[in-house]
Amino acid sequence: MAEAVLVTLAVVIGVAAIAHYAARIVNAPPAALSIIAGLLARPVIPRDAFLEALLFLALAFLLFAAGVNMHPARFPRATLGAVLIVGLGATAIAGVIGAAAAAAAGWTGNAIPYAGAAVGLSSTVVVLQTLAIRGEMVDAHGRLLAGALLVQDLVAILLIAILPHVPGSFRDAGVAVAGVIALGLFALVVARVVGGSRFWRLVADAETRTLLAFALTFGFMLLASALGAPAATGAFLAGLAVARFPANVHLRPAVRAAREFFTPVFLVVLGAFFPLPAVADVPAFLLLLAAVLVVKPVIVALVSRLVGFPRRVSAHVGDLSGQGSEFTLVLITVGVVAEDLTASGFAVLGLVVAASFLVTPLRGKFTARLLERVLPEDRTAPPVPTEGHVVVLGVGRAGSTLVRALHARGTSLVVVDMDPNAFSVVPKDVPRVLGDARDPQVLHAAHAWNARAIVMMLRKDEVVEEVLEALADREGDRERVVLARVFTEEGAERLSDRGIAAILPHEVAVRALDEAVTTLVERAEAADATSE
Amino acid sequence: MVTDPTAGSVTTGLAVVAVAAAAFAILMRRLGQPTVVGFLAAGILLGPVLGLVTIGSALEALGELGVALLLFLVGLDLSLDEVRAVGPPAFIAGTVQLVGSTLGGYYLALFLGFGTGAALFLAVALAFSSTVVVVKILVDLGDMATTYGRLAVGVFLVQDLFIVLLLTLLPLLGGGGLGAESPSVFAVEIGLAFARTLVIIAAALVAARLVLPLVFRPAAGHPGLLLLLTLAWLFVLVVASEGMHVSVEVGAFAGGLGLSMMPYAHDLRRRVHPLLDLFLALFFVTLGVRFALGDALAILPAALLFTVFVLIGNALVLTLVLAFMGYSREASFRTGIAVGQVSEFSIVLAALAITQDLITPEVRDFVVLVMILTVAASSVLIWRSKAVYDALSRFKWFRLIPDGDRDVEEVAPPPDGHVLLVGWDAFGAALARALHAAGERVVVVAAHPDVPDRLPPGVDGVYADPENTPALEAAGLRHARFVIANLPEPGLVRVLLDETRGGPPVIARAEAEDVAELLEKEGASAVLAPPVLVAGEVLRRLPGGDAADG
Repeated sequence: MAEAVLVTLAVVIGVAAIAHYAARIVNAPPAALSIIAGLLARPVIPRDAFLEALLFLALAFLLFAAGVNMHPARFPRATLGAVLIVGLGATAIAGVIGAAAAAAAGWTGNAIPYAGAAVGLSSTVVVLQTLAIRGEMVDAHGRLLAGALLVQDLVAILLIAILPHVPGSFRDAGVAVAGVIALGLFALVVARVVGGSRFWRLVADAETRTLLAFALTFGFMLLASALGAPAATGAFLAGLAVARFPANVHLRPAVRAAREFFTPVFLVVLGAFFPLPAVADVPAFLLLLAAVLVVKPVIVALVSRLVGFPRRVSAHVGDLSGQGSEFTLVLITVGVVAEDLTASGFAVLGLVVAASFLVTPLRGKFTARLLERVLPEDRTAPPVPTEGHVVVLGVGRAGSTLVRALHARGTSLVVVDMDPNAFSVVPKDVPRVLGDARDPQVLHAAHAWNARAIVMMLRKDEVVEEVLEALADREGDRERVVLARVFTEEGAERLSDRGIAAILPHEVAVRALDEAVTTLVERAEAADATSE
Repeated sequence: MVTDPTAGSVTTGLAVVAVAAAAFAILMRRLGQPTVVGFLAAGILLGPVLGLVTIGSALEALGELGVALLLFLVGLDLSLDEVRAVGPPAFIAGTVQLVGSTLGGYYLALFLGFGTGAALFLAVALAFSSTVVVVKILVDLGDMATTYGRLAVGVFLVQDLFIVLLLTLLPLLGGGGLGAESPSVFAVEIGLAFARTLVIIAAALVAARLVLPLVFRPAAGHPGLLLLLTLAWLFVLVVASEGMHVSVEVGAFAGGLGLSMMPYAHDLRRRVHPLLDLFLALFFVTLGVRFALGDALAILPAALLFTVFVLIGNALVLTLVLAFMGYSREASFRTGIAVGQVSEFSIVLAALAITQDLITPEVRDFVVLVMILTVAASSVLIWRSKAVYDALSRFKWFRLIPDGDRDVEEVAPPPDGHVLLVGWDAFGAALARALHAAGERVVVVAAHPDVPDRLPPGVDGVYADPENTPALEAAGLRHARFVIANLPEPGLVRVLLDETRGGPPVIARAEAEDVAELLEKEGASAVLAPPVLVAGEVLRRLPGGDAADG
């Protein structure tokens, strides 16, 4: 019997490895391929009590890892309001449309809210992965999405706790919510006590820390079940507690191992539990998929634009939200246990999520451009200085540091950025222009041609060159200095061909390193001298 | 279809076991004892004492997975260089110690009233010492690189070899016990068993040489996928071993051994380790749960006698062998002290022997009890072996032990006086080039396996996660002139600052002003913050500079 369990595990891990491997080769999201692989591997995966236990174990660790990721520092403080509106508002509207689509496809009763959640929620994992591959993590839309998805994930956790009890009785739902809240408060206490440095010194070695991480997860699961909430919510709260540990970097290996091992297992086992889709389910599947892929992006983009983000940012945010969430997979698992969902409803929603995962990286930027046309025009703020000022293009980390220094000296200046969030780190009385620095109209609004200096702190070297092209289209009225920060040697060379001196961060850093080393050596010599 | 999950006995059982294991692990840490003792104690509390947990097949299988992972890591850790340096002396000393301890143990067990078969099993099983317990203590003491530390590890490797042999042999002895069949049939069976074992090991090694590098190639730099592939490979061998009636442990060991040749070995070890910690704890707790507490009192006197034998007998045999081989008295004695406990494999062997009807559960409980007693006593002794040695040196009879000056050959010592650059990207590359041009010896630690092969000439590199402290130490973390933490994540820099406290100065990279301040407060000797540096450079280059605006 123990051998049978090992064989089951072996098959699940093997299928997961193949799916992930294939995903890596064809560059598709592993999550979607894992579910499909699980579905295809149904004949060789024995669906017994152990597999069910494995499903819920894996689900718990998935949520635990999600909780750990939910570090408070990840919420963008400056634009929290806008992020909340996009995260909550757009999700709610899309959710209502999803519910309507399900009703139109003939679904009834308790299953409808699950369909709403399946459409409304988007995937943190898939979006962050896509952003990382495209190198857009630090772009305006990347940061907005990261914040909004974090908000959504919290909503998802609440849904997981509440939905199985709704329409049952309000009392049950209330008890479940109260249980989750009580457990959440307890998690904060645990974070304080266990995360406190005095306790931490008792668990100085990796083994004990690993066990502690696992034990917290299991302990919270037991507590959650005892309080009438799904055990999985307990695991999430345990993760949330760990996220607040001051020394949680030391738990990372354990958390990572849990995520890397249990996530693929969860997805494969989930796929194995899906019944094969029937013809009768096809209309619901197609309707919901369309709601996720087409309707939701438009809604999210509109909401983001209305909150004040520029067209381009809003279009990308909308476009990238066009998929279901990994939390939906958890939710439908809980839903099927609560008998809110039938087996076929479970499979339809799961497959909608899987299919939408597959589409996200494929849609490229074409749809984003299409969306951009639909959205209302940007407004630009009026620039103040018209001559003899310094124009700073791009206020990221280096740009904002520079702006603060210049502002402190009373230099007359204008800042330009396409991300309204970026201005939050710029002193309030510094004039600003919202828009793309490559756009001649934007440059004109910043009176770039009359400036005494233009400093470019842009994220990509190609953009620097495009801005230079735009600037060269017009004769300047006065002599001006152009300084540009670039990241590559090639970029620096191309700029010097144009007669512009580039600043390479690593060159500056090498000089600083040299100084630091000299100081260290001198300090060591001084210490030696005093000790003699 | 899926049914109610939370009430599932597997999940609940696992939860209770994990919570208890963690609690006892922390308690044991507090008492300065190895966690293994805590796990067994937790199991005894949950099972025989409170009756909270029963062991189902799932828990049992997950525990077995823990043992497979342990063997896998033992294989993964084998380094050919270390084997070459410590191998020959350790092989002689280890073999003599095993033979001596087995002989002594056999007669002691007979004296204590065990039957011939049980006595033989006990003698063999109790001759092995615990790699996990001792290596953990040696690491905590910082003694892994000393002569005695390396000799001890060498002896453990030799013991592991014999364990692999035993694991191959044991399943054959099953059925009617020893000698149930005619000697010639038995000989053929032994031959076949060894042939099957060799087939598994050879297949694992050949695959690791020819096939796995190709398969793993696309996974480089994708740690999650790497872990999945590794586990899948482990399971292939485990299932294949089971199918061929070879012990699962041997298959897992061969799998680890094969992967030890790959550049990912270091990293894999780190990734697999948390899973090992969980599942192995499960295994030991499971053993505790099954422990028959009622009989423990009855066997306690005999167990105490055996404990004294293991503590003193094992140590004595090994000390004398090493001393006569020409090692210093201190190194010989401290190595001897290190083997004075019973191995977790003894329990694995006992578990296997029970499934083969070779021994009764009582014999297993005896092994478990002796293990608990010896591990507890010997960890105290190892922890203070220097003091014990100094105390004994005052006696004349102790000084009769020869005191030689033989030493273990050095294996590529960690670099010294270099610049350790942790984290590789375009920025790190620029720093490395500049440092190299300035005549510094640069060693790079990169988180991608391809980086070490692509470094500019004159720059050395290793592949390891920045959180992988043992790998950083092998790269000379403590002996570097200074360390550059070129890591975008402040959390990682803080871990590194923690690890180098009291060591070389650390120059950290920071991506923002506030992070730079934080890292300086946490002990960075200098901080390179590119955004701040770039802004400063722009200020310098602006026309008129400060004067025009001032």
